[in-house]
Amino acid sequence: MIRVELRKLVSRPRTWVSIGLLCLLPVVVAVFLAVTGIAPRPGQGPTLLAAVLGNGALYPAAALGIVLPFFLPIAVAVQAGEAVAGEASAGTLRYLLVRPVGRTRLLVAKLVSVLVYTLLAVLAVAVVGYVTGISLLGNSGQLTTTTLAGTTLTPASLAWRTGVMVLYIGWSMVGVAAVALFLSTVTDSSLAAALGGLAVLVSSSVLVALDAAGAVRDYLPTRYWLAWVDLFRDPVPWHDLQAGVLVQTGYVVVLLGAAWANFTTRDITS
Amino acid sequence: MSDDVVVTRSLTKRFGHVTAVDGLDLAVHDGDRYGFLGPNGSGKTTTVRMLLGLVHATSGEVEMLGRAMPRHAHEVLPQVGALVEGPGAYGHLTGRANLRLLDAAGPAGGPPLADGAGSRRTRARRVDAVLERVGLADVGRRPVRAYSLGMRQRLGLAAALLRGPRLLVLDEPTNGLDPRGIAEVRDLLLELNAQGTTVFLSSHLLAEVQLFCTRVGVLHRGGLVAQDHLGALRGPTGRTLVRVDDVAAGARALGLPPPERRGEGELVLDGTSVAAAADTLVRAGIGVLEAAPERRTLEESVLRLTS
Amino acid sequence: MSTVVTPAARARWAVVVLGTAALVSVLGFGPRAVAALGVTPTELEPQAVAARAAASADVPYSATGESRGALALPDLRGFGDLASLLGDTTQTRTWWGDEAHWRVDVVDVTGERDTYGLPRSVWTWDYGRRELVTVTGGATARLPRADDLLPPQATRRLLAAVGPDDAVTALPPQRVGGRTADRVRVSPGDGRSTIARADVWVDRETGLPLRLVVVGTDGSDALTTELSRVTVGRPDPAVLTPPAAPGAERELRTAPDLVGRVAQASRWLLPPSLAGLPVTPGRQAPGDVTTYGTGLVRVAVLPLPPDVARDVVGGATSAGSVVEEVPDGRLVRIGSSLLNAVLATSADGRRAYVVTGLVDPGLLDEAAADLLDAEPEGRGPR
Repeated sequence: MIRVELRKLVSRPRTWVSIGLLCLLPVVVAVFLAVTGIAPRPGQGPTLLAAVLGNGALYPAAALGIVLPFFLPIAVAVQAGEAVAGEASAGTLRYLLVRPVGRTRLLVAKLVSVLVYTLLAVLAVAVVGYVTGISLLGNSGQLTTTTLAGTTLTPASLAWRTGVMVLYIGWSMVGVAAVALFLSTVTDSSLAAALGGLAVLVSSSVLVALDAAGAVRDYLPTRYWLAWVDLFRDPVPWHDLQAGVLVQTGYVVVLLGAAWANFTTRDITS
Repeated sequence: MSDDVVVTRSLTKRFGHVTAVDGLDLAVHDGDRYGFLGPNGSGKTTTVRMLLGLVHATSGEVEMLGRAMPRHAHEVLPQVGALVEGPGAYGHLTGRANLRLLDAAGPAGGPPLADGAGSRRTRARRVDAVLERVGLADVGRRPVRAYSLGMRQRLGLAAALLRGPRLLVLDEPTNGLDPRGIAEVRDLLLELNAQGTTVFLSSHLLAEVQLFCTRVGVLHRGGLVAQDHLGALRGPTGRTLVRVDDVAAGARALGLPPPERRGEGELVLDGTSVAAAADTLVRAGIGVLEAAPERRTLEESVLRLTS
Repeated sequence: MSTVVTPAARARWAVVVLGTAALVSVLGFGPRAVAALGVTPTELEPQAVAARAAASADVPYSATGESRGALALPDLRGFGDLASLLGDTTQTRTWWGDEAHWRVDVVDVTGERDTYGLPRSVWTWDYGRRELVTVTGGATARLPRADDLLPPQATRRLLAAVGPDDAVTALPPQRVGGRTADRVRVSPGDGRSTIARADVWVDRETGLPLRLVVVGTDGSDALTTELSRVTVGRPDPAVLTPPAAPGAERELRTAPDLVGRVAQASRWLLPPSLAGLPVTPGRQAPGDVTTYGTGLVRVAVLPLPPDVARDVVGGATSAGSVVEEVPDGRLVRIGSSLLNAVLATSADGRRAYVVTGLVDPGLLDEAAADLLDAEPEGRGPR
């Protein structure tokens, strides 16, 4: 079943269109940066973007920083919201279930497919970011890549930090996917599931910024999203990254549990 | 425990305060062409979904192929082909790709079925065979979104036949088909039935059921109002139909009002002894081709049961 | 769509709900439960606890920290991050070897500002500006920095100021960030202080202050600062070395900021007492800010050059402060519940002073009136 879901994923044009669009924005930003040479004022604009001029090796990280707040969660929420609700509205869900495909198996296969999509999307942005960074912004060597603390980053060090960042952002997105996947088992409308997932994220972002919500802040899904920036500090403070992984894992476990409990016991009337 | 392929006992389903199916006791015998009749909203589709384990019963039991559903869905469903409330397919894929995906999605091994059904090795051959069978062999390479409603319906049927099922559960299988298509599907189902496949056909089209089915269950407001052989259900009207080679002469001989046309036709006898009438006709030199008691149409029976 | 409540459904949902409850209780309440575990009472007198805290400067540690100030100060040009430092939440990372080997990072989402304390200089690295600044010299007059708000530094400064009239009392010990902490409360004896009380949590193992909460006379928490994830031990020397920062701008300064420059350039000698408060006894080096008073009631005076004074007054008035005419000049008051300041300018505009302290604004007015009234003596040409 997992193989079938993956085949569906790669055979669907929408998968590649959405990933392409996701990669487009960082490319556009890189083109403007390269043409004008105007970097954002330090401390403003997306993190690390100020540092990428003439320093393309840092652009994968900056590119992920650009798509992280909006585009990446939207793409992942749409994909995960589609997972079950999309089958329901296409009328294929009932045929899969009488095939028979066990409901738990189907859910697991959907989850794997969403995981693969998420990883593909994050990796694609990182790779496209690297290629555009090197080719458009240059790797002139005038500027050595540095951490936020001003210490020099060796290429090997930059590589592992970017790799961990890809995994961390990917896992953060799995949290988004879990919300949308759960909603996808509740409603037959994939749009409603995706928008519901995004609504959770927006609410979470609002509450994170609200001091009055301090008591619950550390448990909100978007609380540690930006902790990947810590990977570019020296020494790397791991605690926020660990907390982020833990919080996301908590949401993933709870929401997937709820999705499983709901999907395996509900009536399929679509 | 009987050798019936579908049995339900006091099957009931409530959605909130609405009772969709109420204490249903179905029995579909092996080899039946079972017609499951009922007007729209009578609970047909909900029943079909409960049979297949898509909808969970509020109370009552379902048994298919001798096993309880939905607990043994994994043993039962591989031997069941189903078409529920219209076909479903991925629009961007071809019909062939849709069938291959669906085939691959199921349990890899499954129970040992006839001619290696279910194995990955035979997948391409089986897909081609069912497409051929439903008359889609030529269009199997087109994406499904370019299919007409009738073609999609055929594709759904093909999906149901993919693993050579023992039981076919079909909900309105002729939706969207043209008269010729309907006839083709009927022939296909008759052929399958002749080879031993039990067909459970849910429909609101009485004429279709009358033409195809051997046994009929009539559903009304969630409950079964009749379940019997088609012949028993279509009770005699008390009149007799006599087919003769000269209907005008026959009418004259029996003192009936003259028919509208000449030549071969049927005479309707009311109350008269068939033997006496035949005798009279033969003596008048009129050839009696056939004499049979007149039966109600299925429509009349169903209307009488559900009004 | 509808969902049937069958026993199977109920069982599955029960698994999910119980799992969630277990997760929430472990993650959410576990730490709190551990924190509430019995803490043995201390055998030390509160003065002894305070003395340990005051002598904690050579306890090496690494930690993260957070300080929350509730002081609404106007954002004045030349005063750097003062307003956000005292009015917002600041996240820090600290590595402390001793007073001549330390590093404090102020981190936010877009970058960080790191301060390195070295034996004869202080380095600051600003990632946003890509700027590495070295400040040399022994000037002590400067604006507060983020590291001044760390619990150890702030507590040591507070305890150093405690006079005989101020009370140090014991509170029951508690756990802070997984460490057992003895607690003392400092209450000023002089009613003119804006501090109602200051509570200090002192690590029982090392004497390191872990948390400080200063409550203003209006009853609000004016400043809360806390260390978390404390590791005792000397940090890696590599961490304490300022970065090479290739490609960054470099600057060498002798005064850290506006206050330092002004204090060094001051042309006026200040009177020996103000508003009945004598000059704080102790060593006064040129370039220091003069303070008056003892105990927790202290007033700091900084003479300003006329041009700087005009700038500051302009900035304060545009931020909403009102100019008040007094017999010998003009006063501009800037204040919050805890920290108050008065900008006093003489009638002829030649002399100007900043008078500030954690004291009642009335006391600052008195001091400002004394300053404007007194005929100043010049320090002589410089």
